Amino acid sequence: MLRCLQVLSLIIIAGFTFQRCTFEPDNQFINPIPPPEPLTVTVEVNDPNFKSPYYIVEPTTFIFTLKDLTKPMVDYVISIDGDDFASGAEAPIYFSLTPYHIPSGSHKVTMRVRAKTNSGSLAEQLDAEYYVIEKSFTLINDRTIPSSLNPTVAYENGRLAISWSAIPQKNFYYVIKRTYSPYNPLPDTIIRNTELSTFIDNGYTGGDITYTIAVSGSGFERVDLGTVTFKDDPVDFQVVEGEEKSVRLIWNNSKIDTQNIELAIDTDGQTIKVPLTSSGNMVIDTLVLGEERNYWIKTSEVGNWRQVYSRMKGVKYPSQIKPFKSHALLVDQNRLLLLTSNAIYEYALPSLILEDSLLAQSDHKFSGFAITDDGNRAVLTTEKGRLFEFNPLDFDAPLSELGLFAATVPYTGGTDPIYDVVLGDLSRNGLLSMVIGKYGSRTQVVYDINNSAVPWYAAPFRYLNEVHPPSISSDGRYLASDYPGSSQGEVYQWNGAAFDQIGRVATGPKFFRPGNREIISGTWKDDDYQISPGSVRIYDLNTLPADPMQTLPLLRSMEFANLVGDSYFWSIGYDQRTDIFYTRYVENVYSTLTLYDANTMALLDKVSAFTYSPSVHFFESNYQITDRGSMEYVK
Amino acid sequence: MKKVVIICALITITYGLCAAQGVSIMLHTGVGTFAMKKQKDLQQEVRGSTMPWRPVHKFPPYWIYGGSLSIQLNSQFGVSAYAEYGSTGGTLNYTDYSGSVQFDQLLRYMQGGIGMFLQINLSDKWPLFATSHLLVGKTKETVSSTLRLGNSTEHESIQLHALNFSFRPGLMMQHRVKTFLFQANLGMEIQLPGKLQNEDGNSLVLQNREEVNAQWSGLRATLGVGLLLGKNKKAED
Repeated sequence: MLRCLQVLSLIIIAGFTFQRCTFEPDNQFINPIPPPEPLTVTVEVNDPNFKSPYYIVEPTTFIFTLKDLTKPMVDYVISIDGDDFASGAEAPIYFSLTPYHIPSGSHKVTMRVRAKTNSGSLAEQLDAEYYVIEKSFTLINDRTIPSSLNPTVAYENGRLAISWSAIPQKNFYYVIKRTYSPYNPLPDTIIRNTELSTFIDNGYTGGDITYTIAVSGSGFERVDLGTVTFKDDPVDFQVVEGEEKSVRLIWNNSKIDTQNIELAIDTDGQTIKVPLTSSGNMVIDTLVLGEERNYWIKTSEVGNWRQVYSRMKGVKYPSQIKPFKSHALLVDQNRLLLLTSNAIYEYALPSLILEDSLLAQSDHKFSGFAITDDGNRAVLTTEKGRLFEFNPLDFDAPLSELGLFAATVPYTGGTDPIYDVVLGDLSRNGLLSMVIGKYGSRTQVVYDINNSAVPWYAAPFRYLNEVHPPSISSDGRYLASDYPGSSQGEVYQWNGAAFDQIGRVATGPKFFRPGNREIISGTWKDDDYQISPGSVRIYDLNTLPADPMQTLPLLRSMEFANLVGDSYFWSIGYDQRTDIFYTRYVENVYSTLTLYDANTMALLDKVSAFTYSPSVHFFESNYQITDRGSMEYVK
Repeated sequence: MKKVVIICALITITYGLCAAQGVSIMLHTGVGTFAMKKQKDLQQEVRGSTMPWRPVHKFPPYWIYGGSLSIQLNSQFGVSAYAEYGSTGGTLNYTDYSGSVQFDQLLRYMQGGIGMFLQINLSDKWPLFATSHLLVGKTKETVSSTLRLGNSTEHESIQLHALNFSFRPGLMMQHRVKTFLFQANLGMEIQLPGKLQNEDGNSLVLQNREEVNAQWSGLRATLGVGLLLGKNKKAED
């Protein structure tokens, strides 16, 4: 018992001795979270090439991009020289500065970003723990204007390069101004790298261009420092006639690098586009007989439509013969005779070599000629109505003037002088059809050059309508004529002394088929220059009506549709050698002959030539001929 | 009120000394439990704030210390003067690598009073007494918060005071060995808490507008050792 009490006493004494008398907290709640890891963040100002010091040259917005920032941003503060300038709590982090409002000199710009640690710690919860990201750069505001420079321009590696002496200052940016005359205005080019001293104009593919090097910066704007002008065509394009009337575009050794350069050829509303190569030879078109055509040859950088350089290049179908007023194809003699105002030219066929010429004398101007189908006899007339017989195969033989005036006075309404003679056909037996023009009248006449007589004539027509010479068969046996205003034409037959009317046919140009079996009459609705419908009628000359006032028996006919597309029906022709008749229409500057077999009326072919509406376009002995001096054999 | 208590205590002591058969002095130590309901409510409300803290002390039982002067008026009955000191507290804490935050409610009391005891068994060696005490005491509370982040520390505290009255019935077993007395006491403190306020007379108020006080009510278990003084000492010897 005593021992127990001793222990109790010890407990009590120990309680007084070792226990704290007063309660004191001696426990903690410890959260074992780790401290946040270091954060690596890359801060980019505007772009990766941004450099400090930065020369401010214009109102500028600075954007700070925090790459690899994986923690939420708390806020940011932008300060300049220690003074807070901008702040915020949300990306993007940006601010704008205007040079005008910044004192000249150097300034320190600092961005300070606070980002959450997301550690969950007490400090983080009390906003006392965060990452701090800081980025500074030096900003310089320099208002000194750079000095003048002397730019030069030259090709470098196939591109036009404008060079100038480098400027040591950095307080500006270049403005390259281009005046590209007379083409589209070109946008200015801004060069911010002040260390550059060359501008490559990748879009230049030729032309007259002026480059002005200007600078802008703090306190100065677009100050011109130098100008240089350049003019060149770096690609020598040639447009030439190729084989089979093709047109070829040829160029060699382009001065410019052709990479990413486009070639466009514009013609007749169509455009060919191909990549430009250093050299080239390509077919770009096909011509028709006698055609002249211009092409816009355009080069440009792909997509750079403002800087297209255009050149006009033309091609002309070669003229084998001279332009003429009248022609005669002497097939048996392989000769072509052409009549101009000043001469008659003789060409060899098919070489078309000019072999001889008959020049008009003094003030005589040739106006036309007529030659027999066998090429043995020929008559020419002058602009004053004088008539001469000449040897179509021998120009050295002397000309003999025919006494036309005296012989025709009784039939042409008086003694007024002849001012104009339009020749028609000359038959082998010397009968020459013509229209004699006098003041106030025109008279259809058949003149016998052997006897200086007039075996047939029509009453003088006293109005201004066009009067066509009568048609005479090659042997002189038949005559056909239209009297202006009449609804029908008359056909006559030679009786040895005069022409007797044997029947009627439709009005219009008339042609006798070989062998005198048939007569062809091409008719249009009214007189010349009328729109279709027209027709071709072929009548029988061997079965004559009892009454000469009746129409000859019609063997075949063809009606032409009214207005084929936008084409116009212009005229009808006939080639006795090939027995082909043809119609002609003109669209724009193209004349087209449609060939038909006179025997079967079948469509044979179409041939085209380049000519204008008053001009002529013939098909004769398988040649197509224009009075512009073009001629080709139709296969 | 204070005067009444003091006069009663003096009368009791004077009467005891005049009529005493024996006098003893004792030292006590033991453990007390404390209700502290309003303090716990305050701790709960503070915990609901934005801080991440956790409760690490919820007004636990804690050591109490006391002393008494007892006068045995006859073989079964005596009176005593009694003084006692006790403390407890509540703590909210949160600590991590970045720092710590702590909210403390530290309370202590010092009270004194008179008591009487009446033997309720017939054993001479192990007499068992029914006891009762009337006590008056003063409570001090320190409410503080401490925030430490890195090298920075913020600390705030307020001091509150209250005057309490309590009645403690209990049982006491005593054993005498020569001139030494050993006691085991078990009591139930029934307290009337006073208004807990600072020097300016302001109190802490809960969200339900009730004032916070210090409720020391609870069990008291102590052991005591002392010396027997006076005439009974020889007789017993």
